[in-house]
Amino acid sequence: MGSLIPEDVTKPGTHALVIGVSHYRHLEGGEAVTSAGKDFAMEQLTAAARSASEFAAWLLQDYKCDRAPLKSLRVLLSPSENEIIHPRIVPLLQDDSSATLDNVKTELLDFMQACDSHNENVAIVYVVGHGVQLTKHGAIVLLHDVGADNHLSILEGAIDVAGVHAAMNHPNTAQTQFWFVDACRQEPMVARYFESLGGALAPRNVHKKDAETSIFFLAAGTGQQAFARPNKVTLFNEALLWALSGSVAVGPEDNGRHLWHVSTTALIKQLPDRVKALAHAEGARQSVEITGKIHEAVFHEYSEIPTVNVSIDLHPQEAKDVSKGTLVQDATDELIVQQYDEWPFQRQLEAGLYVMEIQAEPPFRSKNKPLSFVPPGRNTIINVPS
Amino acid sequence: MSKSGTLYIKIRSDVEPIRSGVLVEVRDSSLRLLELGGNYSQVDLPLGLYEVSVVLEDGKKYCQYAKVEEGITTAVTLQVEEEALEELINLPSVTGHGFDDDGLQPRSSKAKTSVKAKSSSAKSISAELLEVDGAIELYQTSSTWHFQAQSNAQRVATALIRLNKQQFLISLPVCSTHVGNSSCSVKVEQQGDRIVVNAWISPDQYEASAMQNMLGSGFFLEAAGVAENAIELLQGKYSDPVGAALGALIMHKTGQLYRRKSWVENLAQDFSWLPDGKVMLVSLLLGDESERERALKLAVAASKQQMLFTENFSLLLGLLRRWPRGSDTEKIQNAIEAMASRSPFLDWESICLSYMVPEEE
Repeated sequence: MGSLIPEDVTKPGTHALVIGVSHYRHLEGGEAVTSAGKDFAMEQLTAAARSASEFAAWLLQDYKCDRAPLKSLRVLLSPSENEIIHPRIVPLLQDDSSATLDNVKTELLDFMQACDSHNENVAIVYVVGHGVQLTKHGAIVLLHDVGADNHLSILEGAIDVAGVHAAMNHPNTAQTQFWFVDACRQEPMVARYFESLGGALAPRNVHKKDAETSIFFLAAGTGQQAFARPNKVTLFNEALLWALSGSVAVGPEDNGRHLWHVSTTALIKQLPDRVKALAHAEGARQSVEITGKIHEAVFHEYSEIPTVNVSIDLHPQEAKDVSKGTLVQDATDELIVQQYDEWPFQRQLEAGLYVMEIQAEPPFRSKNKPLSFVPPGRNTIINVPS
Repeated sequence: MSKSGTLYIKIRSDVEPIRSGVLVEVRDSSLRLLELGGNYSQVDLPLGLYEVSVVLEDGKKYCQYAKVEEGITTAVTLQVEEEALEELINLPSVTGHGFDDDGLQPRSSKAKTSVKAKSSSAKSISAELLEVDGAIELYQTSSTWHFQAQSNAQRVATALIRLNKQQFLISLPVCSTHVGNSSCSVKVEQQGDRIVVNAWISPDQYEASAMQNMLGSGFFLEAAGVAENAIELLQGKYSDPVGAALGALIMHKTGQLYRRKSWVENLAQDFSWLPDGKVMLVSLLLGDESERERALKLAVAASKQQMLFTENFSLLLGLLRRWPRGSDTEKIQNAIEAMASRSPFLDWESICLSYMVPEEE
């Protein structure tokens, strides 16, 4: 299969491996159900492959990292019937791009070799499908042909993502790594069956030293309801793309990060909460474990200062009728609005610090209120003192 | 020469690394993070509005704004505040069919963030303390038990709690050798539609409590800042081995532990009742082929003990699963099976080890 874009390992860059498995050939509902496949007691999925394709498309279209631009993108998808793959990705998939054990072995090896080409490389891995969460640190994700009759062990058609992560955690490869595992986790009594089994795909390497940054996000929702909206994308994918669209962007830094960007810490702080909120809205529960080597790093950059949706209101209600607001952007001294009185004030503004001057009539008192507008935006209620 | 003024930053905290200001962030009005050059208390800055923030010992991020004026020293004080912030930050309502994105600003909190349910009602929780081992129950409030270490305890203390119809065994972060009080609280909390049991180090153990709160709130790097700068805690592990073990775990997560190998050796050897120290040492020894046999002995020993921190349980199980070939396969497999029988029932989100006791047990 190979990279969807011309691969370049002559200079530092970002290398990505994306795997999404919705269709399981040998599990219930597959076209060649085996007795081993039945033993898994798992259904076909409807969102994993699409979610993987959405992330791959984002990498192609929007990913920005000036110090390590995208240099290879490997995508393996096994979609279910009628599952919609991102139109940007479809024409790039050639030959057999299904997420079988053999294909994953081939692409994984090539991906690891590409990552080894420069320490300044960035590695991004995104794997989504049925999984068994074994620990905080990882999950086994089942591949398209798990349960095949010619497999010697029950987990031969699965990838131990934590094991792969550990194998790549050393000083002689990409020193900045981002791992995203999005697994439809199994109920404890089912998971128990797999706990002590071996055989899942994982290179066996033990290293003395770690990579500099190798952060691992493991999203695991128990059952399909917690995993994805039917025939759409997974909740984790939805949360991740929300984050990458600018919602968790942080400001530039004196230490050389000159652009607004998505940082490791921003993802750590915001992604789990967002996933939880989305799952809760579906009446389900999903957690995001954060492990690996945690170090501050930039995942994605923005060319422009992000804008945020701002809403400013006053409290108490009586203050609104007798208060006027003047909003100034401090960095530019730009007057945003003057003598505003139709509360709440709502507008899309550039991220930054602002000052709202409230001129209030008795019994209320005027005040100046500094405000920080950061992505994804905020609702602010200013208490007007009396 | 551009005009400037002075920003004087005061952090009120019982935790020395936090008080020193190493965790302070100063951003200008473009929200650019400034490099303070090691001076965390008094900084000369160009005129303008600045945002000063710091994560404090309760695991929350506090923020103040200051206008720097020419020739004037502007003081900013940051401290834990019990009352709600003046500005109310609305959490979004996440609908079942997409998100009306009017802003999501999660509050960091001591426990994991609670998600407000749109339509669910609070479940009634029946909670009962069934057994305590290695600790003494001091008192109980409505949803919290307070424990103190039992003298001469030779293993990680635990509490068995029944929540409604399920039983949970939770490791208690207390130590009988701790100088002064070593106590903790176990709280029953509702997070959405889920009832959880969490054990929290007493706030009197300033550094350890701060690290746990920061870890629980997702401020990993800030927790590492406390761990790396809490020299007395780390070197004086004899006064707080639980805090030292937590500091070791945090430094492992941020890749700093390898610099303190001899210290970890002592932690593992001098406090053999605390398997977490062994796990930290195994993680350092495993990459050295000459140390692998010793690492295996430590790993097998730790696998038979009650772990204090969930992440160390996870780490050990993962290390055993990926143990290099050539070692004693049977011992490794036995250790895996012993641990693996519990792992599906663990609460992976809990910092202190907590798992549901299956009915057949």
